Amino acid sequence: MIKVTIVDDHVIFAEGLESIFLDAHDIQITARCHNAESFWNVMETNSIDVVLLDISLPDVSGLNVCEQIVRDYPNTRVIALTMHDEPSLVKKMIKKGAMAYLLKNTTKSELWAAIRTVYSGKKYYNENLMQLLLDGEDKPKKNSSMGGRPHLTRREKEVLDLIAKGLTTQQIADKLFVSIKAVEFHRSSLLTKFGSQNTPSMIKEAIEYEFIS
Amino acid sequence: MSLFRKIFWLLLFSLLLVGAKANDFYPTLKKNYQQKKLDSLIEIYKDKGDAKGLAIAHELKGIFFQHIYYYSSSTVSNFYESAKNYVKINDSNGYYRVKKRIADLYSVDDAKYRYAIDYYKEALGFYHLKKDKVKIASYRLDLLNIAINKDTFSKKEDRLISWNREKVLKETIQDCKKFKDQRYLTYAYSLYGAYWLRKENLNDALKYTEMSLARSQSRSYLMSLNLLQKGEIQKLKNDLLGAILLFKKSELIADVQNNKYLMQLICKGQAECYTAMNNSPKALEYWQKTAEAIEKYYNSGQTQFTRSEEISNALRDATTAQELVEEKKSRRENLIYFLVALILVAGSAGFWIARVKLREKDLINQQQRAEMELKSMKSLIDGQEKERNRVAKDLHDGLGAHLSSIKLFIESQKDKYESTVQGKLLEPLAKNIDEACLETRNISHDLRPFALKFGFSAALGDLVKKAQIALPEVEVVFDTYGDEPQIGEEIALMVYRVVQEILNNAAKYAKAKQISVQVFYEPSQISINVEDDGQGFDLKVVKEGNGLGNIRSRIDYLGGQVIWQSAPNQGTAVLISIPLVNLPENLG
Repeated sequence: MIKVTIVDDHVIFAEGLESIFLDAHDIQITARCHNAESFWNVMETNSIDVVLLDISLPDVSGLNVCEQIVRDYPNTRVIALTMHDEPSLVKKMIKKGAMAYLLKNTTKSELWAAIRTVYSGKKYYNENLMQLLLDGEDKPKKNSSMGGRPHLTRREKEVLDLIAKGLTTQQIADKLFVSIKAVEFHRSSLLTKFGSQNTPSMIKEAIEYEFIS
Repeated sequence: MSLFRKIFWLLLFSLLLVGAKANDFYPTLKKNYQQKKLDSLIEIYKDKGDAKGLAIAHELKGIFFQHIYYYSSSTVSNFYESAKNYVKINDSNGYYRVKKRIADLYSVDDAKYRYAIDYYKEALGFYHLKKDKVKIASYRLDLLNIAINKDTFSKKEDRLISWNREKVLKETIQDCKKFKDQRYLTYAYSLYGAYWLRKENLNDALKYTEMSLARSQSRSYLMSLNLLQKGEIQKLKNDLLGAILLFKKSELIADVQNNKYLMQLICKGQAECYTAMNNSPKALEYWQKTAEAIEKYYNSGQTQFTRSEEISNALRDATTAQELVEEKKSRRENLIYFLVALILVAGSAGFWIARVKLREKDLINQQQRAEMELKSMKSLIDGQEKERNRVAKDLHDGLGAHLSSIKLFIESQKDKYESTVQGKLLEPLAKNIDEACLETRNISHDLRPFALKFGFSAALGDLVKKAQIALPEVEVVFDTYGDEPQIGEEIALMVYRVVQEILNNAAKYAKAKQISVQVFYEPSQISINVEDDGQGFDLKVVKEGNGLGNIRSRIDYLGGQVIWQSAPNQGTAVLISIPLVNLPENLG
């Protein structure tokens, strides 16, 4: 028997959730808690296998609760069950140790499957979640100016080209029909992207990466 | 003799003509006029400089717009214009009547009810001086209405909180009885009912609501309001069918009156009843209606526009006050003309001093005006964000939770009816609810970027991701350079809104293959470049549309700079830099 606890401050939802497991022979809802405090009381006296955890709780954030469960009760698995689908929040929750992340309009079969999967120690990622997480891996953060060929926009390439030809800021502005300030903006972006302190070293980098020949 | 008689009749006739003309010279408030007619009247009065005509015509135009759009910028600005003109002709009753029209609209707006309190109080003070007891009673009721319906009063800003609501209500009811004023008595009973409803004393609530209801025949607004109130009471008494019936009656009247404020409350009431009855399809229908009504009321272009009118309203008030002072000054000037002449003769030195002082005063005035502009900008933005936050929370935690509860209910019943006709009906219903959930989440995200808690990059990352999902055919790139510095929440939110607006514009108009969002962090500055490779636009033609103006005013407020770089078929780049020091402070 898989012992499950629901942590959700919305009473009607929590009640409805419980009713979904009435005919599940291997799943038993041990308790419904409407805030983190009452949940910790339940954890002290029961051994719980799976927690269905909402993120917006009245007292403490579900993120913190998740972290604490993973740290203090290594045998208890956490499934995030929430209305939030912001990618950054999903990633945070997974990082904190949630084994599954479901939206509240999930289906009965998915809920059952998720509980059984995490109970057996495996992570349960549905299609939507996979997509969110994969996309995140796809694009490595270009948070540094070092290493790798920088990604330049069309406007930046235009400005870089004219800088390399030796034009002054005023001349570039005239040529591109933009203000001096716009040219200065792009020049400073280019310096940052190439990790250079001044124009000559930037041009050297740009030649190295074959932006200009 | 006959000649004299002829002249006499001619004179009499022309007198009558003039009299008749003078009588229908001004339109009357009791009649409905077409917009065209009012516009042409306004033109005529303007040419003549006829303040009375302008006052009446603008009031009528405001009423006309109120009937069509309810709470819109056109409604409010016409009333303001009217009030200004009533001041010019010293018609206090007219002035306070029009201000009350504005205040009545503001009183149910969370962002503006403070103005309503000011306007009501101003009028209350005036009628206290005039000892007009009936008017006093009516304005007291208006203030009580706000006090009872808005329980989020901050103690500092409002003395109203110190009113003992029940005591003042009882006194006012006694007053109304004494003056035999049925209209305000009806209003007072309704408020007393609302008061008890708030206190959860359902019996007294029902008693007074019914007393008001019995008197509200032929008063549509009160009728609709009382039916709604009675519905709320029955709902709490668990008579759900009775409640729904009352809501439906109320809905009919509110619909005719085009009262969008009542409409959203009525829809919500019904949705709650159907939810409690487990009538999922109906509940879903009415939650959607509620969402629509809330959207219409809070988020419609009109209301949004009303918000951005805030500054101009504040300025308009200031201008009215200034004009008044100047007018009074000019009157006084006539009286002291002789003295001025004396001074002139006595020596031009005195005159010069006076002029210099006047100039100084002008300078101070200008400064005050600029300060006020900045202040109203801040309160405008604050109010807007506060309201967005509230609506988002209502949608996300309220509507969202109900929708997911309905979904759960269907999920729990599905197996029972699997191979039956009902079972087949459940499938599309579940799908519809999923879509409603998604929509609720999306609207809520737009209104309140939850991820700002995790930092500016996180929130912007989510925004870009959402844009990517919404625009699968476009590649949306997001890059950050440098380490994110500490950015105050207010600034972060404002910059977030700006990027949101730019992305929206790009998605709508650019027809781009790629949109790139780049953020460059420096310890004392953030620079952002949002660039697309779409069709671009001619900067001379699309100079400062509404969206662009919005972006500029926010950036200006933050002391930053924004540059648009675009040309037809050349894509668009929006370059923004925001300093992280020297921001407008101590504006509270």
